Parts: sequence; C-alpha cells; structure tokens
Amino acid sequence: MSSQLSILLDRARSVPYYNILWGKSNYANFAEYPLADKKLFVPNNLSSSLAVPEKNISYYYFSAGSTGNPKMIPFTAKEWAGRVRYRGECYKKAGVTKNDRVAILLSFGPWIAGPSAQDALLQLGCTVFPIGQLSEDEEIVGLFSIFERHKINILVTAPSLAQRFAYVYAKRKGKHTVKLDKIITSGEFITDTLKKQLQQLFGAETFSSYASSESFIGIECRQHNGFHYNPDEVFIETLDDKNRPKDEGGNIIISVLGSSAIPIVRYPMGDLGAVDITPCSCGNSWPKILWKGRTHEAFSVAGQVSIRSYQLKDAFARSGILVTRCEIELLEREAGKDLVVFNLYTINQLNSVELEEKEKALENLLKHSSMDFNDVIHQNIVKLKVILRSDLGPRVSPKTKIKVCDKREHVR
Amino acid sequence: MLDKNLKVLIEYSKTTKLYKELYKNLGDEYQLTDVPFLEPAYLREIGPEYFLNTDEALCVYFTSGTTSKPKAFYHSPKDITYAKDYIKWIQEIEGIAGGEKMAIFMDQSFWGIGYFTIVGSVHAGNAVIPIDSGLSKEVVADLIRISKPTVLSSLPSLLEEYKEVLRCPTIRVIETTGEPLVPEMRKELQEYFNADIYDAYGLTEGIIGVECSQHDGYHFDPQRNLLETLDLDTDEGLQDEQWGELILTVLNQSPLPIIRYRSGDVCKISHGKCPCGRNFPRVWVKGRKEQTILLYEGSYVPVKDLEKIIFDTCGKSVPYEFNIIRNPNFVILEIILDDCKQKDQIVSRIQNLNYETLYLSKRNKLRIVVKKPE
Repeated sequence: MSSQLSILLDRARSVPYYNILWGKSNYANFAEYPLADKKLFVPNNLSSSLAVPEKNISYYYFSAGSTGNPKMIPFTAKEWAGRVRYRGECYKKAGVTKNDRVAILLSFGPWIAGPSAQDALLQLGCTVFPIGQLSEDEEIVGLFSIFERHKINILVTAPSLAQRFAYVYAKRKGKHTVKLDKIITSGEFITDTLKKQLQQLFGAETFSSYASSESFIGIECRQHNGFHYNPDEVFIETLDDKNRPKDEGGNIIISVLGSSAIPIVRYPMGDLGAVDITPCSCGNSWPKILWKGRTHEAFSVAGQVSIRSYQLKDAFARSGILVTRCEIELLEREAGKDLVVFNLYTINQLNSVELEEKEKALENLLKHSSMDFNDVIHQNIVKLKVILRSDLGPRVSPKTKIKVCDKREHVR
Repeated sequence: MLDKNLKVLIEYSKTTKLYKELYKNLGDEYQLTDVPFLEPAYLREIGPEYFLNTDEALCVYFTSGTTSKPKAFYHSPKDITYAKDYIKWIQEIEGIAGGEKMAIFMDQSFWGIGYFTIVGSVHAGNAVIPIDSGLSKEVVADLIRISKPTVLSSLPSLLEEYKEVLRCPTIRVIETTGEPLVPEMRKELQEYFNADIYDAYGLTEGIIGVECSQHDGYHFDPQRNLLETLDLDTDEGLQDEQWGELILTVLNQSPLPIIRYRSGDVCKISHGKCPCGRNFPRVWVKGRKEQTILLYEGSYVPVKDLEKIIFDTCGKSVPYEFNIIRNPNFVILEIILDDCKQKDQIVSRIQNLNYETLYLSKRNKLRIVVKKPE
C-alpha cells in the first residue's frame, strides 16, 4: 500500500462514517476495505463524514442525490487549491497553455464543474471567460460575437452544450466565423460523430475529460483512447459485481488521495471501465482509465446530469402506488436537448382520472428526484414525459424493474 | 496637488491604447481636474486590443451594452486580489468577516459580482455556498434548508422574488448589492427575514462601499477609491455634502484602469465622522443622472434607448408613455403609443436591446406590452 493511501486511511479513521463502515477490523489489504456509498455526502450526516472542524470549510458545492437530499461536497481552501491544480495539470496535458483564451460553457454554483474549470484555467495563466450553461438559441447567437471579438480559441463545455452550440452555429452558417483550436468536454460521453462535426465546423480537436463532483479524474491525450490520470492524485480500482478486483474491466472505484474535508476512500463512480497501464504513444507516463459505460444503476441526460436508479425508486416510493416496471426512453428533442419518457406500469387498479392524476404526481416527483435533474428541466435542456399504465399481467415482485432504451443520435 | 499614487496610475494607464488616445493632450504636468473623463461609451465600444499586452491570467466578465454588445471587463490577478481585499474590508464593517456560512445567491457566471463575492468572502474567513440565480425555486429551497447559512448575500429583487424559499432561522445578516435598496423594500425584507440588512454600493467598473450599523451612507476606503462629485450642469468639482455626478477612480493597476469614470449616479460625499466611530468617508446615492427605468435584478434601461427604438421603428416622433408594473416574479414594461402598428417590432427590438433585456425576456422576467391609450 502506498504511503499516500496510508495517509488517506489514517485521515478516514478519524471519521465516524468510516468507523461504522469498517468496524474495528484492521484490514491487511486495501482491497479488503468495504466500499463507501452516497451516505458519505448526505448533508444531515455531514458531521459524521467530516475529518476537519466545520470552521475549516471554505466551499460547499452540491451534486445530485435523492429527493430533498442532495450530496453536499465541502472543501477546505487547501483542498480546493489542490483540486484545481490537478485539473489544470490535466488541461496542460491536453495542450492548454497560458496563451489560450478559454470560454467555459458549464453550469456554475452550486454545481462544481464551472467554478473548478475556471480556477484551474486561471491558475494555468489562461484568459478565461466564465459564460455559464446557455442553451437558448438567442443567447448562443450572442456568444458567437463574443467569441469573434475576444478571439476565444478553446471551449470547455459538456457534449450536449457543444452539440447545441454547433447546431445554432450551423443554422447561421456564414454569419459568424468561430475558429477553435480545442474543445474540452466533461460530464457526458461524446461520440466520434459529434467530435467530427465539431472538427468540421470549428476546426477544433475535442478532448474529453472524466470527472465527477467528488473528484476530477483525468483527460484524453491526442491519441483519444482513454483518460490519463495521475495515480498520485486518484487511486483507481475496477471491481466485479461481487467487489472482487477485475483487471479486464468492472465498476470504477476511486480513492481521492488529496481529499481532506471528507476523505474519499473506495467510492464507486457508477461507471464501468478498465485501467490501462501500457505505455501510451503520446509519451505521458500516467496510466489510463478506459471508460466502458454507466453501470446498470445509472444513465445520463443532456446538461451533464446522471440519474441513478435509487433516485427513481425513491420518487416511485413517494407516489403512493406500486410501480412495478419502468421503461425509460431517451430521445433527442433537438440538438443537445433531450426528452425523457418514463413508461411506468402499476399493479394498482386505477381508472382513467386516477391514472391522469397519478401521472402528474409522478412527473412532479421525478422532476424533483434530484437537484441537477430539476435544474436542467428548469433550464429547458431536458423535458420530461410520464405515461402511466395499469399493469394487468401476473402479480410480480414489488421490486421495480428499470430498463433504459437510449434512442438519441448522439448517445452521451 | 495630484496624489503620487494617482500620478503613477495615470502614467501606467498610458500604456493602454485607450488611455494613450484619451490622454494624448495631457502633457507631463497636470492637476486632477485636467485629466479627461472616462465615458461609459468608451468601455462599450473598446475591444481587447485596447488593453495591455500582458502575460497574466485574465478573467473576463461582462455587463450589458446597447446594440447587444456587452461591455467586457478584463480582470488580472491583481484586480482579483484587490476585490478580495476590498470585500474583506466590507465584511469587517458588516461584522461578518470570519466564521460565517454565506449563501451567495446571484449570477455565478458571465457577470462578475458572484465570483468576486465568493473569493472575497473566503478571503474574509467565511465558508461559501454559491447559488446561481437561474435555479428553480425548489432547488434554491433545498439548498438553503440543507446548508443553513448564517449570512445571505443577494440582490434586493432576488430576495423579493425568492423570499419564501430563502427564509431560514439561521440567517442573521443579509448583504444586498447590485441594485438600489429602497427604504420600503428594506423595511419589508428586514421584517420578513428578521435579519440585519447591510447594503453595499458598487458599479461594474468598481466596488465602492458599504453601510455600517448606522445605515446612513456607504463607507468607502479612500486608499482604494478616489471619489469626486461634479456639478450636474457645469461639471465643476463640488465640496462635501453637495449633490452631483459621482466620478470614480479605482486606485489599482488593472489591465483596464478606471480613472475618472463618469458613473452617471447622483451622489454626495462626506468626510465627517460617522456615529459608528469609523473615520472612513461616506457616499450617499440619490439616483441616476440620466433618465433610466429600473427593470429587474439591477438591470436598467436608459429612456433614450427606448425613445430611439420607437422613433426608428415608427419612422417619426410619436407621443408615448412608459409605465412599469411590478409583480413579485416579473415586471411589465408598458408602452402607451398612439400609433402602435409596429408593436411586435418594438417589442422585439427592446428584448434584443442588450444582454440584460434579452436575458430577462427569455426568462419571462420582463414582459413588454405596447398598447394604445385607453
């Protein structure tokens, strides 16, 4: 076990959450420590997760969570500085220099993506334009003039927002000339088709980065075959469904070596992937994480939002009816804007009026199933539709079965 | 006698294209009154080529400008440090410098005020919870309920719009900024939140000052800002306690120096001692010099811009009347016109007048109605 992991474990041992999770056992190997879970970031339990006095916290950012219970991610000033330094280091690996003029089209507070990108780029010495998450055509058209006037050459954004940006630009072909050297994306998967489209429209090479609210992980090099990450910053394991190491790929588990306010030890990302330690032809000695998709527990929608099955189940449980099946269709409403259709089935016998009422109630509950999902619906980036049917089939297990069917052209 | 630091700043500013042109007739020996004013229009029109060539990291924020061209402000690390220090100074006067949990509920991007409040509050020893003003009420309610802030920093109109989800028993101080806080609104908000309200005064071009516990004028730090007042008709310099246009000089070597900037605000200054015991001078604000209409969240629209749109669209001078109807969540700009055949065009041109009108219209915060007199 590396000395950094030992230090992280020592820090975590001072935290009640880990004392309960780990019991009194002193595990011989790091791989034996039980996995952490979202309870680590539940605001009501914050005092049992903090490894520093609350007065030492400088920033509180937020991430999704279940209804009314988002994840709260506190940072000390030093920890924040470390996080943005590492993010900056990764941007540097993708070729960002202090001479670049970078626009950030990401969500800002209470979400972490925008502010951490901003501070990372400022630290690199770039000229930074913190724009925010714009998705309406008129707002984006206004941005083209800003890009031209201020000679912006790099765009940091999410794939769905890049797609929207490209779509509006293409519609106004010839009216503006936006030339970009690079587009750096995060938060969602980006397809090769979209990368090619961005190359054709703006002349930009797209570098995808891999991050979550809990930690920035890594970034692609020019080979574009995996995310390089610094093992001195993030320790990554891949495990099978029984939490046994699986080198060829499995659930991605992270331990964030610099995490101090809340030590992050063996935390599942909700993604599947494999670690590649073979030397990369780019010359970067850092290993790579090869991303292979979300676990069956999660899916992503436009605006860098991940929806997890526990959030949906929590909403169903509040509806007062038994939802036995949930079939989710992910559709592209317009470029960079999604429609999420929930086809729900209940064994409760409901007449048409009751079905309509419950449909509305479920739509409201799903809309509020997490703060970031609510935010992208509020921003008109995602629309939600609920269709509730009575399931007259044989009585099944009360456990809701969730199935996701992604029909979007640019699957993110 | 010109202050030595000011002279250094003026000489430094001449290395920018903007000031080089502005000061071409200034010579080597001059008094403060010889230094030409910086007009808001210059800032609206200038591009980055007018700034210093610098290797420094720059953070660029915008404000509105007419013809959909937002004014850009380039902030160097020195500017950010200046803002951090000044905000810490402000929070010391408010009695909240250190150990507070501050919910900062305002724009977190594009406009710089949110960012500067965050870095300044952290510098003052507080913890921050950044909350963007574009979030839904449900999300804001969750964030406040969960984080239990002790201080809320926001704009008066946002406090008014979101008040039912912002109320929280842990909040003891509210810091307002960004737009005028009229006495009736202060009273209403103070009673509703049961918290002390400290209003801060500033322009996009510079932070100016803050109220102390006396709530009588804004203290400013003369080491950081040089403030003058000028007669509204003659531009003659005024003495203490006389109302005139506020002229701002930010005593910081920024990539875009602000020297003798015409604020358009009608103010008076006093160097008399404040009952709070502080020796810092104070400034009071009466309103705008130019006729403007306050729309929403600190966004103003100059009446002359509206008049120009009506004139250009109708192709002639026509009688008009502007009314503002305020609702908790939006404002209606009512334009009474005898001849309103091109009302859709007028509405569209006002919506697209600048970034703020566009932003407010898109979010249904600004509704424009053109109608005939009854």
